[in-house]
Amino acid sequence: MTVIAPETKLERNILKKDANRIKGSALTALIKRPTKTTGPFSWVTSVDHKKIGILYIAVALLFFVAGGIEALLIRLQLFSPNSSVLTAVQYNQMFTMHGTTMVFLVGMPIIAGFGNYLIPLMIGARDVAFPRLNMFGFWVFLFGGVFIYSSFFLGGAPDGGWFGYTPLTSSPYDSGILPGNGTNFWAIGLLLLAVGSTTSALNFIVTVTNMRAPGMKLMRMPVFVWMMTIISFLTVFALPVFSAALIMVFFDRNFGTTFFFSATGGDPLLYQHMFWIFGHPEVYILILPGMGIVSEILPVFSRKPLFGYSVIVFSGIAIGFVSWGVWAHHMFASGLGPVAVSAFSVSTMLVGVPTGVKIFNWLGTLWGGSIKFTSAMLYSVGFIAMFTIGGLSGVTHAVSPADTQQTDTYYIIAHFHYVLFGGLVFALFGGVHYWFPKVFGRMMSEKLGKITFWIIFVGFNLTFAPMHLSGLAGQARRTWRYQEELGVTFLNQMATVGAFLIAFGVLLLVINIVKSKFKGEVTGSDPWDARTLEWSIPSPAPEYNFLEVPRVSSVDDFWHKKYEEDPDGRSILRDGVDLKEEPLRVTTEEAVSKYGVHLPSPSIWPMIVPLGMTIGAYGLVLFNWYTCAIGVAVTAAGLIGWAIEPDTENAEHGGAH
Amino acid sequence: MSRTRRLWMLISSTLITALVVTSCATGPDNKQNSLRPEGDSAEKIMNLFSPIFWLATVIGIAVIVATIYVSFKFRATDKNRSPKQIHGNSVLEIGWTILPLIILIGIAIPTVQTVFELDKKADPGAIKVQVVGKQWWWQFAVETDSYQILNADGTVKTDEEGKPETANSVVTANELVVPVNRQIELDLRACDGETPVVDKTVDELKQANPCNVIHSFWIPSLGGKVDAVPGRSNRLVLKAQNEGIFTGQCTEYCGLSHGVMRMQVRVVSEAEYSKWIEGMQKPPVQPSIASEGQTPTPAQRAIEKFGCANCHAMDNPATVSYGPNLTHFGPDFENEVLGGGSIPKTEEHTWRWVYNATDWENGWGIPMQADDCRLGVAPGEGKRCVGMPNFSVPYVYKGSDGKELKLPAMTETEAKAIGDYLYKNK
Repeated sequence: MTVIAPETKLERNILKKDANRIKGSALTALIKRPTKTTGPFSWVTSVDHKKIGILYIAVALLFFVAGGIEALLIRLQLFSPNSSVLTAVQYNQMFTMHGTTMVFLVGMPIIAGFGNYLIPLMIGARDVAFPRLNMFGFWVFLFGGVFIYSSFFLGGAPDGGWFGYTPLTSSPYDSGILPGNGTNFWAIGLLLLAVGSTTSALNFIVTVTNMRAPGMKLMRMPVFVWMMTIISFLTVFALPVFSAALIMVFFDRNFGTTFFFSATGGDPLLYQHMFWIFGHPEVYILILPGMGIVSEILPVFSRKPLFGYSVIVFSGIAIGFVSWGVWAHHMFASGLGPVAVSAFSVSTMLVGVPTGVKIFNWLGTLWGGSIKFTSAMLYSVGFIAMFTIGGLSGVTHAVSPADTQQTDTYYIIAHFHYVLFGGLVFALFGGVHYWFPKVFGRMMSEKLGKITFWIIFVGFNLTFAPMHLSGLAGQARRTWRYQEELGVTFLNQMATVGAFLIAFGVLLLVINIVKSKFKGEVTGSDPWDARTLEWSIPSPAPEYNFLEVPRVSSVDDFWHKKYEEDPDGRSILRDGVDLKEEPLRVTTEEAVSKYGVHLPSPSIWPMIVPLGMTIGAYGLVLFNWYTCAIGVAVTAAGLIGWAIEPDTENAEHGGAH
Repeated sequence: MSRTRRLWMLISSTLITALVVTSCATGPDNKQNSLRPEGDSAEKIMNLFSPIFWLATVIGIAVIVATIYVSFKFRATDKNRSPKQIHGNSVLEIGWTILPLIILIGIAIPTVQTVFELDKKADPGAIKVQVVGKQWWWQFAVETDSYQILNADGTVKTDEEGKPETANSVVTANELVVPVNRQIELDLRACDGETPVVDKTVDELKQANPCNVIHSFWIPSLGGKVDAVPGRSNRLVLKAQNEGIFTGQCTEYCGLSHGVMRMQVRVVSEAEYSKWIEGMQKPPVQPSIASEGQTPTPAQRAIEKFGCANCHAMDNPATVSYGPNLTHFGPDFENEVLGGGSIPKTEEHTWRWVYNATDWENGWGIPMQADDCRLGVAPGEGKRCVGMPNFSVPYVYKGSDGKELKLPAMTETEAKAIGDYLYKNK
């Protein structure tokens, strides 16, 4: 190595970078940087957005099963009015964990998983802007989820409700109000998860801003990418408010502060405002990606473009903005006063307008199309119907005097399950069927898929439709038992049967996924004759994504490269296009050496940092300061290692930029 | 069968199902049903909700029928393999943005009107009731004309300075008695009075004040729900149109036994109401403490032994206490409730509740977290004093100074004596 005497500032900076790289290599030589990108251990060290996406979705599906079991236990308890299937403590833990799991350990991560896998592919990029930060987000999720679930074995699961209203949750941990460690696990666990979600969202924003392929203007991006971008902004602004509220709860509970204690001037309602100003954008964070998925699937299986693309995009943006102005509709019964209640009633009604517009545009997409009912299409059309029902019951909540009868009853439970299950989950299941061939190069069984859809569809409606009536007829939420005199026993029994039907359907779906991964019909790059960029590359998607960076000239660019329009406006195959022709596939090594592909290198630090954070978290909830100190040390070591390590190093591929 | 025929069958079966489902629309006649209003407030809400709900149903059915229709009409066939690539239609977009907006404005106007109408204060002449949500029962302090508090022997009760005690409310639990067709103005709270802030540490404050949770008061047949929030006073005005018992429950998760925290409103005639108030203002038939010179009854001995007075007011109908005021516990009507409103008030239920109020498995109690209440200290102090303890077992408490406190179990005889005493204090 020649020593260069630095003469200019530029030369000094280059030397510094070289020196750091050597230092970094020396430090990380203690922990040798992983290099392999294949094999089982590569799943732990990979920064490839596709592997991370699959990990997010797989782990989220595991938590979905856990949350589903919690729901089944709830429904078993409610099969009869005065049941003893669960004790009151267990029941309160079940509904708390069911909500917490489904929102934070399934909804948010599975959306991050879909976003991870698809965003770079849909915008023609090789990976996200910050691959290691991406990996960090997944490990925080996994460790955070395990952390929260370990509470079952460490003093009892959280039982303050998924929303954790104060002062129930902020009473001193030894006051007997909510005894045990459960709520501490809940607060700290969610704080951990919030870090991961926020960094993921930031990553997506930067990726979409900077890494779109040439010609991929914002108004040429797939709707799914638009929705993910909007929710990433919502996440970045909303989650920190919830994190602040959680810290305040934790402090009230354990360190003697009185943020939410009225006797010393605190206000329990402050928590509700902070929670719901996060919580309402949160539910749009959950549903908009589902709408994005449906907006991708419907055009493909109608063989028509999305009707009103720009309107759908702008209504998504409008929903994003208006969602900040409706939060207190969750607080209509809390005594806000008629002016505030009226204002939030009106704003809540307003947010229904852009949502309704989307439904009409989806119907417009179907109209005049050539509709093929694959499993993915069944789920997407099912989404339109189910989300309409959920959205309309939502409008009835906006009528605040009516909401004072509805809130905290099963009517509300019916509403949000129609939009979250009939909406988001249907879209996700459809998305699984739709993108499975791209991920694994095989088709899922269409026959089993259709049977599964109908079982889930019937089970879902059987479970939640009766709740509209039982809620208005007097059945309250979060109740371990109900009175026989209410006369809603039969409705509850229907709901329990429906829930088990859903469970059976989900089991079939899992079987379909596993079976198809190994034995599914092998397929090529574009089995659906689709419209967006991810279908232009081989299946399963190669590590490098695109051999050549695509040049985009319109929305649905891939479709337009295959088809042109005749004078009548119908698509005809372009000359020289052979739909059976497969795009070129090379090995990763060849991509790097011959095609000039640069890829980010694997790393271990983005797994070490969440490990340290989780150790520290255990220290906090178990009041063991030594454990805390170890956690801080591991986190710090991880951050230092991460910071010093260059993003790309000599590996199987890559090399310095 | 032709495709069109199948399509129409599908559409009509959807419509029929929807109609059948929505015609179960009023639900069971269970006296806790918002769809069968029996009070002014609930009626106003139903008048607003019902047309909007039906409009939403019609729109919903229309959209779903349209979805099914479109899905069938444009199914892929050999003839339509290549549909026209339509990108949008501005007229439609504007239309289906403006139309929902107009409908929503039409809904918003009566909504805001109803909000303000329901928020109005009650007319003068309304009966004022201070309602406090506790874990896990509702306390009612009904405002009455000023009256003198009497001892059991008929003498006037005097305070420390010798002045006769008067009060202007009667305090009861679980059941609120109101006259028909009269406005009731409820002042909903989650705390008894204001806790003085001076001279207490924060921990003492947090422990000493049992208002640690939010509750919500809901009698659906009479009106919507309003939360009882610590530190706040929320108003709810109700006016029952019919006599009867209307049940409700707490509708804000408030901990362990939230699910069984219930209450009822008994609507009676004006005459019955006046009679009830008069009875409530009287002293108890039996006092809880023996007067000087008299031998204590078994009930009085048991009450002293187990420290009931630590949590329950028993000789004064106007006193608020940690647990329900038991001065007139004995039933004046049929179908009263005890134990946080979820247990019918019978003689057997009464003594069994006293014996073990946590025996939820056998239906005699509800889940509690209250063993440390037996320390006999002021409510809230001690580790777990939320609710009523289980007196049927001995109690051992190990203090931080190592000293042990052992208390004996209550016998069934003692429980029955107390139960009998309570049941007779109508």
